Amino acid sequence: MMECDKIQSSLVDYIDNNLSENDAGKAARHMKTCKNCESVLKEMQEFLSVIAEDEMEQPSKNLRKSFEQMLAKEKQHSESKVVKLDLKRNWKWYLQIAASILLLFGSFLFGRYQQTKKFDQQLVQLKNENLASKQTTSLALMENRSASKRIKGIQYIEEFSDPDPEIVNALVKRMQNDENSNVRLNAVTSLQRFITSDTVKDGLIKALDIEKDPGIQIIIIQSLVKIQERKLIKPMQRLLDKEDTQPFVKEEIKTILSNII
Amino acid sequence: MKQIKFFFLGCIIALSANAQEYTHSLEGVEWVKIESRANVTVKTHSGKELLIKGGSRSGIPERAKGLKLVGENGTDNTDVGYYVIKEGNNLIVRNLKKSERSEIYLPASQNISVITNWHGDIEIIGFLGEIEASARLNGSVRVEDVSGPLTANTLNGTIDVVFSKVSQSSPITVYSTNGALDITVPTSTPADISLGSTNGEIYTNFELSVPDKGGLKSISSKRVKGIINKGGVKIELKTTNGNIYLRKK
Amino acid sequence: MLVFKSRNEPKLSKSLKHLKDEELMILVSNGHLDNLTILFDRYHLRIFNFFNKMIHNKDVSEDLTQDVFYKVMKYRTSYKNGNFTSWIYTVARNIFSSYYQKQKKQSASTLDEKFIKSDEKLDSDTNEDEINHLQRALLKLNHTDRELIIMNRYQEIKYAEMAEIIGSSEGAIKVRVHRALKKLKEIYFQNI
Repeated sequence: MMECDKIQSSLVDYIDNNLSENDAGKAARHMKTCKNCESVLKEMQEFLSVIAEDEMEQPSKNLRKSFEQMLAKEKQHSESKVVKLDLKRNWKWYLQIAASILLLFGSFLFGRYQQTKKFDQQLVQLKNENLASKQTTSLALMENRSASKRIKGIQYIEEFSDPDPEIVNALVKRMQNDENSNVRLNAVTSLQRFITSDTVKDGLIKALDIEKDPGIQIIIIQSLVKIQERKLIKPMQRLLDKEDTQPFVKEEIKTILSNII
Repeated sequence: MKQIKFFFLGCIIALSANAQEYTHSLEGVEWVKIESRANVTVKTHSGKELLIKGGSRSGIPERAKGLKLVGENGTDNTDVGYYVIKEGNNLIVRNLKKSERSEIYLPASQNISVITNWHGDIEIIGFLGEIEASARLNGSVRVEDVSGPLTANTLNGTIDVVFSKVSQSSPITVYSTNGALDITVPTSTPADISLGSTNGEIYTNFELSVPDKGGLKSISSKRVKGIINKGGVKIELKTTNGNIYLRKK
Repeated sequence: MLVFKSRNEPKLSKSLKHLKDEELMILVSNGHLDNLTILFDRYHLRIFNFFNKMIHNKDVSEDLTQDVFYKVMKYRTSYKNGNFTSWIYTVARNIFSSYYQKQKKQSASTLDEKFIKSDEKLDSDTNEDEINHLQRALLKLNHTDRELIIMNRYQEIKYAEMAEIIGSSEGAIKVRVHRALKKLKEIYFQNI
């Protein structure tokens, strides 16, 4: 029946009290006599209340943390463009006001210039910004309580052509402190890219003294041997002396030491 | 016949007298972290709490009545030889007994981490959440009917995994120093596979589509990389001295 | 009279909580970034749940939510004093659409097909609690219909605002929402 179709299509509004008094009255009267429409109404009521009762989910603490980190970074970025003020009102102050006015005017012009940039230049900018956002994500992931997610954060870094020192430091931290050996292994592998940095070299050497997993020990040793890092010799000898070092690791160390001396 | 019946009855009574259980709520618990020096079996149950079935084999010695079991890292607060405590969003479950096997039951959606030392084998069956399994000395790892993500490692033991499905949300890493890896993955799983063994052999019945670098395909027994079903989550299997077996399901 | 930013500027965010979303966003677009925190407090839960209801994956939803606030922050100067809710949801929808397109490329079937195909063990990439029946039914709708229901019934966005966000007329949106609800209801009761 056409009447039923019309009523049924307005049921949601009826339930939400969004119909005019007139229309609501018409609908109510119709449903008194029409069992079909009445049951459809009941069904819809039940259904809408199930939806209304569906609870909101809570995100993890990481969300806020990442947001705050991102905001802080952006603030740093923009604060560096602002002129510092000395409130002593001497000639210097007036000079600085003049400089600020010039700067403001300059940035206004620059802003105008920015808006007329070509499309592909904007694209490049977009890409770089995405990278910054990705770095923040990576850092957050590396602190996740799930080992698999920490590894995901570490592997994400492969996509960055030029990561911040913050990222490299986080990797060193993971290598030395993570409770899960799979994570530590991925951190060491990821650090290979930055092996020329002193922070990384020292970090690897320190890790060698505390790392118990033989697979990881070997990788650390091999990466430092590749760059002929002499600071490696003492920690290797210490490993040789430890009872619980795996035989094949000891063999590897002996071979290396015999080639050096 | 009667004697046998009485014998069985006696056994049942004795067993039920010794079989103890411990439960703990999982409210607000994101991760259950289990530590043991002995074998650990973790299975699913339809309940919403943690359930530990105390062993009935080695009962409490008569002389220990009224005393509490103590271990290196805690005191028995469960009467089944365990130390259980909630730390933030983690529930720490520590087996204090040195050789008794644990049977632990959890709801299927729980995230689980199991760490064993000494000869502790790990067995995890039927879960939908994230799984971390580390057998740090001589234990082996067996994980069945799970969907991951999975982070597993052993020193000397083998790792056997059968995935019912493979979650795409974060990487799967299975590493061993001296043990073999035997991993079964559903044939249609989209994944980026990386298999590496320093001294062991690599076997698989998947056809890995290997991206070639300038026309050269990498065919080294040390490392095989490829994608299946157009690629997806990273699955990385590594050993130093064991073989790797990657099977289709 | 020009206003200069000095190192001693007090943190205004605490005293500005009574301002409207639009007013706060204008402050943000003028460089007072701290006010974005208030907007984050007001909107992050909604935006997170918007994504989570769409894909039932908390981790990805967190990433996407982070992207929304990142975009709001980076493109703050392009905010021109319109309805803030419409603006932020437009950003959210764009981000969802990029995500959806990316997923489409990466896997054989689209997200929609994946959900519609598998019945018992839904492969929604989640590690959490069992998916309840309603969420399961929601995931069976195509994503356009799902989005309409989530915006209207869960996020309580009025038809007029939805029309602005999606780019259609209020009347057309109303009809589409009703049709989607009807479909969802059928799916829900069919398998109960």
